[in-house]
Amino acid sequence: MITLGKRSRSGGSAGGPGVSPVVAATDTFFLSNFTTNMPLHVRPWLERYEKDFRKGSLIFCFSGGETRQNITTAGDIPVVNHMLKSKYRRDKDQSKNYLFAESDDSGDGLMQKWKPFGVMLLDMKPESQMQRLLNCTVFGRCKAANMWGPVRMGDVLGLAVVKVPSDKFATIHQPDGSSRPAGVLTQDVWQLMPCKNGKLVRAVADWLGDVAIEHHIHVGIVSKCVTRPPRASAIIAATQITERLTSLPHIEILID
Amino acid sequence: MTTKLTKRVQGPQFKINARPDHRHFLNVRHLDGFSAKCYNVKHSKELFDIKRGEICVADKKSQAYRDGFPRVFSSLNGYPKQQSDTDVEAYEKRIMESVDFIGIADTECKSTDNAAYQQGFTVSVAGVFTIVNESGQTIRPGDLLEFGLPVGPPAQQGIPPQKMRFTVKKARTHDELLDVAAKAVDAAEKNNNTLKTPLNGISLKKVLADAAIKAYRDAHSRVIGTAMSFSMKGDRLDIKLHSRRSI
Repeated sequence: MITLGKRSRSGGSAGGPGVSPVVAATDTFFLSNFTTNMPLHVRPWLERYEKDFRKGSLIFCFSGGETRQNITTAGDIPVVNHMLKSKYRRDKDQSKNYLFAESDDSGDGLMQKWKPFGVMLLDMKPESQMQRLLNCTVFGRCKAANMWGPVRMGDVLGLAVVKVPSDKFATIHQPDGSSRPAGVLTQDVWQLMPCKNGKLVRAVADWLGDVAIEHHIHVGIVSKCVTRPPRASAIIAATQITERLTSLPHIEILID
Repeated sequence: MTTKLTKRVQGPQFKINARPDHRHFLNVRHLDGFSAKCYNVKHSKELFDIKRGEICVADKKSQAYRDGFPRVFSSLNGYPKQQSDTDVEAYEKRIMESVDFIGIADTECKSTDNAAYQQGFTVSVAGVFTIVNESGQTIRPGDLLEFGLPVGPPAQQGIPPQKMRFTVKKARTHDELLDVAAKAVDAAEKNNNTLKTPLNGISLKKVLADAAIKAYRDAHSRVIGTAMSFSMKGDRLDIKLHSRRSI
């Protein structure tokens, strides 16, 4: 509460009314856990992957190419995993592979091509039929799909790039839910998997066994988690299929 | 063509109070900078003013002040050269090793201001800002950015063309940082071989690992944030400053 008072002067003052306002502020409220949101203009995919992005999806931006446009090719975790798998699929036309990525830091590497941007908050132009204008939280508090399983406040959440043996895939799922036989992979592939406090989550660790983390991408810190944790199969499916990711319960995280 | 910063992203930010480094201003006025590019151009006092949106750094070895405020500067004009600066690369390398990134100036500050009028100068250390892309590169959303030395004249309207100020550019890749660490290991190994009793075994490995980690960490500490918008050279660029972490 802010109050204004009047300090009176003793008699004999010349000139104006001689009022010196006194301001007293009694509020001790400090703005905490605020958010910063940025718009992102997303280019449409031929396969319409961008239509399935929902609130809570972690959005990656494609950083390659030299076209001068303010529209960005973007994908969520299943789309980026699909790009990583497509590098080693015999049924994909490798001549059009500028979106596909390796796991390393070279010019073709994942860390140079696909970069984390933020967590989608809402669609700012839902009536648009082609490109989407997304509002993404880039700093501060937001709700994200819980692909990390049982978490508690203060847990540091991230994503890890790990090598997945090709025989671990029963079928190769694409982000839109369609599937291909596992034999299309020519070798083991790198994938983005959820990790918590620097280690792979239990669901992924049990599935893959002892694997080394090639890269670590920091996402944020858990600030509130009251929902029931998803099952292990749901977590693994969420890394491959967008619909399974968006149907996960949400937790509140702080992006820093 | 110069760019105006009229349209800026506004959002929650963390700000700290700071003071301009008057001791640095005295040094650059009376000592010589390197005679290359515009480093030795210091004819105008406006070259040393701190404008809104400029990258503010502080000398790592600045004198201790009792008031606790960081002493910052943004201009490289007249940065004192030393005898060890045989060429412009050595001079620029020494500059980058001597300064620490503090933040982005939120308000303006004149270098000629009397100490009594220094109140109100703030530097933003976290949040999203709009600056001008003077890196000469095309920057895309999601690109990691590090602060570096200027590559050309300022592209922002209202800034003197001879002013040399820090800029943001795309961060070096992991492979490039590994090259930096490998060179540090080579240098540490050569240094070890020149000793009267060279180290070997686990002691040598610790020294080499220490040199690699320090070189990698120092090179990586220049990463200050992430690009939030597409920007060609000379355009406006929205950046998000990261919280400072060390490995």
